[in-house]
Amino acid sequence: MRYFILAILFLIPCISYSQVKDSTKVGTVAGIIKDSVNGFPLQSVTITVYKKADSALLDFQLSNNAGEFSFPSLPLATPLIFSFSYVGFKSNSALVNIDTISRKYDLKNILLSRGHEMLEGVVVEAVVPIRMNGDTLEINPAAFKLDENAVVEDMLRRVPGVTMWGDGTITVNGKKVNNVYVDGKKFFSGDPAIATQNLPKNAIEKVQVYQEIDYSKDKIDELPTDSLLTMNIKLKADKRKGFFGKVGAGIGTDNRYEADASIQAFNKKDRIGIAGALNNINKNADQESIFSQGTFRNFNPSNRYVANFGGSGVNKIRYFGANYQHDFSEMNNSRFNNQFTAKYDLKQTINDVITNTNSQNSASGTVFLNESNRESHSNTTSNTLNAGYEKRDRIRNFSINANYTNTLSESDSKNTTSSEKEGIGLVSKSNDISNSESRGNSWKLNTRFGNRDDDERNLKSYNLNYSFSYNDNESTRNTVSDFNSVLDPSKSKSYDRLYNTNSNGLSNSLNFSYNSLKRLLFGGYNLWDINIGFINNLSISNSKRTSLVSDVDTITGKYIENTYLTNNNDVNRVDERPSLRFTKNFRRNLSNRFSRFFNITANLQAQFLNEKNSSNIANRNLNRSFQFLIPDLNFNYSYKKFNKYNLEIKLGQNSSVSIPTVDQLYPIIDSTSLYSFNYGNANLKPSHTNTLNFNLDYNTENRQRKSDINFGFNTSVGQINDAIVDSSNYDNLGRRNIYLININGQKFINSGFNINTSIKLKKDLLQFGYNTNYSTNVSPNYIDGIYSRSNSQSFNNSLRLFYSVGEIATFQVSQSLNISASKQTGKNLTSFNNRTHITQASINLKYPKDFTFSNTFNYVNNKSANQSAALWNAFLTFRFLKSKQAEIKLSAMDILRQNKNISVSAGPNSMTTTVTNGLQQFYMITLSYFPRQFGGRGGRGGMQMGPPNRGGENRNFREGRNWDGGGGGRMNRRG
Amino acid sequence: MLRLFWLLFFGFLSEFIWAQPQKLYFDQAYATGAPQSAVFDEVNYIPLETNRESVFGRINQLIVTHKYFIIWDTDTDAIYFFDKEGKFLKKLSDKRNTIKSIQLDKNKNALLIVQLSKSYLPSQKQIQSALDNPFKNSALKYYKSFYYDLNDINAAKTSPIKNLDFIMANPIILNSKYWAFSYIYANKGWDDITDYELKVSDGNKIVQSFFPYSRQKSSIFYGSPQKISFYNTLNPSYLLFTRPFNYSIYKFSMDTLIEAYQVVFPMANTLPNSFFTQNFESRKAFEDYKQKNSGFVWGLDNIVEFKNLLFFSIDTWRSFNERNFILNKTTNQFLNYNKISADSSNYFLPPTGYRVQYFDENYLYSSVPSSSMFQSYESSKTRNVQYPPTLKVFFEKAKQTDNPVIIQIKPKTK
Repeated sequence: MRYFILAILFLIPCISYSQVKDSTKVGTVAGIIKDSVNGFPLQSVTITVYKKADSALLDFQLSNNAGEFSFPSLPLATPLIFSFSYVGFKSNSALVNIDTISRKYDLKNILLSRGHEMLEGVVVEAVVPIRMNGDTLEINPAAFKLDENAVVEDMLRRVPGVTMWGDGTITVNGKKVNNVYVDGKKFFSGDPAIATQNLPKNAIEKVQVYQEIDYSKDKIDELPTDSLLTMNIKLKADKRKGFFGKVGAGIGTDNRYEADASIQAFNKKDRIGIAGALNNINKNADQESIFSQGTFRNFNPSNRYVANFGGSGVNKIRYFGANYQHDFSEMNNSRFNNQFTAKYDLKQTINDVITNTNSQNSASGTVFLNESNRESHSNTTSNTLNAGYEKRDRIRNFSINANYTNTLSESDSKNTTSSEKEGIGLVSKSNDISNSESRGNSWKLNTRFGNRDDDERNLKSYNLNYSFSYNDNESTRNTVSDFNSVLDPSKSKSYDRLYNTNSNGLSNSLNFSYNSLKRLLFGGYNLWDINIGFINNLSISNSKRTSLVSDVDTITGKYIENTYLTNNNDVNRVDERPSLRFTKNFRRNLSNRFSRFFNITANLQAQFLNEKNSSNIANRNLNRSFQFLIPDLNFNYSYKKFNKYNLEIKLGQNSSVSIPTVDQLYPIIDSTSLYSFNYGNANLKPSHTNTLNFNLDYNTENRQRKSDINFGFNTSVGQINDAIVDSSNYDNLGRRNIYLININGQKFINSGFNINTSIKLKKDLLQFGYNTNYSTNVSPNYIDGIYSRSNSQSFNNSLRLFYSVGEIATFQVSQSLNISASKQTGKNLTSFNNRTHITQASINLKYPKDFTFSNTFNYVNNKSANQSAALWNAFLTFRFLKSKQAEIKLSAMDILRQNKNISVSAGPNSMTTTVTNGLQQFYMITLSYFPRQFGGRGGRGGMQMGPPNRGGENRNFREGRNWDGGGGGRMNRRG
Repeated sequence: MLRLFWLLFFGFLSEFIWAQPQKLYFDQAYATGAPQSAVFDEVNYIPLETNRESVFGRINQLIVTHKYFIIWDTDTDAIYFFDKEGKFLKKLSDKRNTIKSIQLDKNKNALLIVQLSKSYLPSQKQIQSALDNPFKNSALKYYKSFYYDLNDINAAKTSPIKNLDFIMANPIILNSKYWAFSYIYANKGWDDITDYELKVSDGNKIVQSFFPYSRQKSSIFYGSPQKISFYNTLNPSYLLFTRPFNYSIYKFSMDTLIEAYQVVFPMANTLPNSFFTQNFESRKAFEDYKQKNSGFVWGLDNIVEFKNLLFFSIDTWRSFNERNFILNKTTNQFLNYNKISADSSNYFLPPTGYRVQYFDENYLYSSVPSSSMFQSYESSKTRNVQYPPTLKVFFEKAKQTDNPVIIQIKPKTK
């Protein structure tokens, strides 16, 4: 807790630094802009203010409805140029010098005359930074004088009305930007940062911000309320292809190393990305992390793709991945798509880990304390290839996806366990050594097809999904174990067992849904506005497993088949679920005031299940059939108060059934499992789960306000009848014998609440968040013959603060409290609980220029296990070379040398604390280079024929099909 | 036979009436705004009483008689009667039916109301076949229409309309005997029959039809059903109308059909000839074409001919602030209706509303939500505006969530 307060104290100087503006050093300039022909005021004229001396852009705005403008804080006694420009009119300019006494200047009436700009003969190089083109906001990068290496993000941070939030969200005038496109299409993964943090400002022609409205509704008479805000980055004609990336390698103390490479290349139709990584510092490599850590400029580095001290053990990772995207059409937006994608990942992880586990298990009148120490080594290699095609248009959507994965792994481990009875002492101990090897393949295919009928009755609209998967796996494992009973030496035993397992599985599933059943059956009759749909889910699967088990014969030293454990098993399962869905909607709107929507959906669903199990073990040959009725009911309510807030409430009930598996009915007990034996129960019945879910979400939506608040609450309450639970007995050696039974009364509750608010203060940003989760699981069971209701509970809270100071620093701190408990109601059974406090903080400082200094701090204090650990990492980055393409980074990891991985878990009658070794302190120096190039040597110049670039949505009234989206030569003067 | 003769006669008539339409060359960029005092002589605000019964969403259609403001609101699916001072008089709604259109019949002094039963959802095919067979009363089970007597609205005197199948096409009353209606729709799967965009009926049979098209082949009508839109004028002897995918404004009466105006747009925004000659494969192909060519103007709408002013709207995929315009026929200047700005003589309140919703000999009528009135009121607090008594009371007593306010405008007509 004290660390949290310390972290807050850091904030205070930062806040005072930002409140620096002195109101006596600035002045106001105002005026009205009018049409010279008739004297009528002109609205949405762009007024730009520059310093005459160096043409530095100071500020800009658009005139209001009455043609007025006003700049409240411009420097005094400095010659300023005001430039006025408006579509269809000739630009005008004025020279102003605000005197220090009156601190005011009234430009009075500025007249603009009609006509088109001449390209030559303009004295003042006035490039318009922003303008309203119809309902589209256009941002012109040429007007922003920035570093030559500036990227789009650097420019967006200077546009009034555009806010880049700490979590990567972008808002324009308070409204969230849903999609960021480049030239009308998704750019790589669609993460806005890949575009805004990599593309250089000088390669952009303009940035457009507009509402993507569904214009397919004819004759819209009133202003639209629902639309997606989209930002489109248009590249200059000769810069429509290029590549960018980051290549780096680092070496550190303690033989630590890391290397990462990423390259992303694009042209009009294709996108390709290649990534690779090598490290021995637990950095879990995947394509998304490597690409997002490799962006050229990042104001708020998340410092997430770094050495993972929370990882289990020490991992050496080798990774290579690539992805490819090809667009068949010019036009891609949230409704239309025609795209092919492919992805490949190859990853090898070599893991070495040492674990120490302590658990307390409650039994009748006593507690068993088990401690085990395990050392293991594993080497896993996996190859994954994924390819997909998607086509979506007005009446059809189709997608197909295929995936192939191949995995090879080998591991070996050594484990020693000891069991103590509280008050008595050591009762038994064991050690085992095992090594194993496995290889597996899996193939998956998924296709979706949806048809939307041309006719408004939708009789031919339906959706069809089919998926297929096949996997096979072969593994060998050898276990040598030794069990020593201290109390009763006759119970001691040893094994040297070999397992050879082969398994494969095949599954098919087909899903069909049809929503116009009412029209089909009842024609034009409206049936009180209740809609009827039919859905069918069919899945057919088969899985086989063959286990060959053999033990070493003590005399001959050879492996002999263990006929009890050797088995094969073949399961065929057919699951058919037809359902009829009834829906009714209630709507009430009062334009400009509120909009209310309520929906009731009832699903009458039946399940027909047949499972056939065949095995060489006689009693495991079963053929079972079941029929269940699993209806569900859902209510959905949404209320939108115009320009104030949105509220959504959902309440639903659903039911499901699960049948006991053959391993629960007739388990095969393997004696190498030294401390726990499960005897199953041949008379188990299926268990029925009934869940009630409730969700509430609220968020403010007010363009005028400077702050935003949203909160949500969700809870899910369930009850399981005939739950399959353990009835266990502990023998005096600490070994647990488990019998399975059906029991009523198993309940669970999971609830969560979160609240977030963001407040914009001038150039700074403050975000608060709080979230809490509570869950409780009540499970009746028997322990040593005593009936007990075990209650495991967990309660997690976390408070988070984020603050950014202008362009210089970002600061984040969070405090969490996690409580978990395991309570027993049975007599003589002990309860446990645990409390953990976690404090996290991070600071990023971007000062002086080209330097970034980051610190991350984590403190974990586990009160009950009396263990605590602090982790402090620091990074210093420096960019050099004129083009800022090279970077040197110094990392100091685990400076306090205290890192420990502690985790605690609570079961129905036990509490377990696990401590794993992980990385320890090291220092590293990393050198990286950012290769990048935009545009070819000879770009295609001239006018572009064909549909306009912005995905066919042509916003300018004058632009026809044959005009480039830049409005011809009128407004765009390349600076 | 006689029917065929009349058909041909009127067909010829429409060809031979030699009227050169007045060409209006429209250039978007020069249709700017203006301060309202330069364009309007008077702007009056009439708040409408808001209570539990009278609260409604927005004015979908407004009819102003000398006694009442009659408002049709689609949000609450009801018709409201207010007196000319804004006092609430009556609400008409029917739980079992949805209102499809309302129309003032001046001869009968009654309101013609057409409703669709909530128990049925007729398909386009059923509607078309009902319109084809005026003798079959198949429409009756879907529609309920009647006259509502305006002499005494509280008496709730209604006279049902029977045997008018074309009531489904929201026909317009031409005079005491004749109706005009239009329902234009084509489908690749239907029979190749010639239909007409505009038809005139006497209640029993079609007496005139104009602008033929093919029910199967005219692929420009594969999208949703289109219609000819009619507009009243200050002269009771004729109407104006516009056609889909057409930029002309026609003058129409029982004896004449003249092309009165033709708006000419820049080339890039005009539907090319290829649009009319190419055969769209299906409804989807037609919708895709619309999506790809969003710069075109698809038609004209909301025509108001008021003395020397012509108000019109263009149907195009643009911002809602760039669709409604005024032409001053004397000066030949175009103005953007939504860019007319407030000034001191209208207390800096919104001067226009979205478009002209009704007009009579003296005034134009529009409406604006109360929230916009309050928004202007808040931002004018520093200007120290002296509001007239009705508005003073409005800003004191009313709330942001009250009913929309009616704007009564007297434009300058010189």
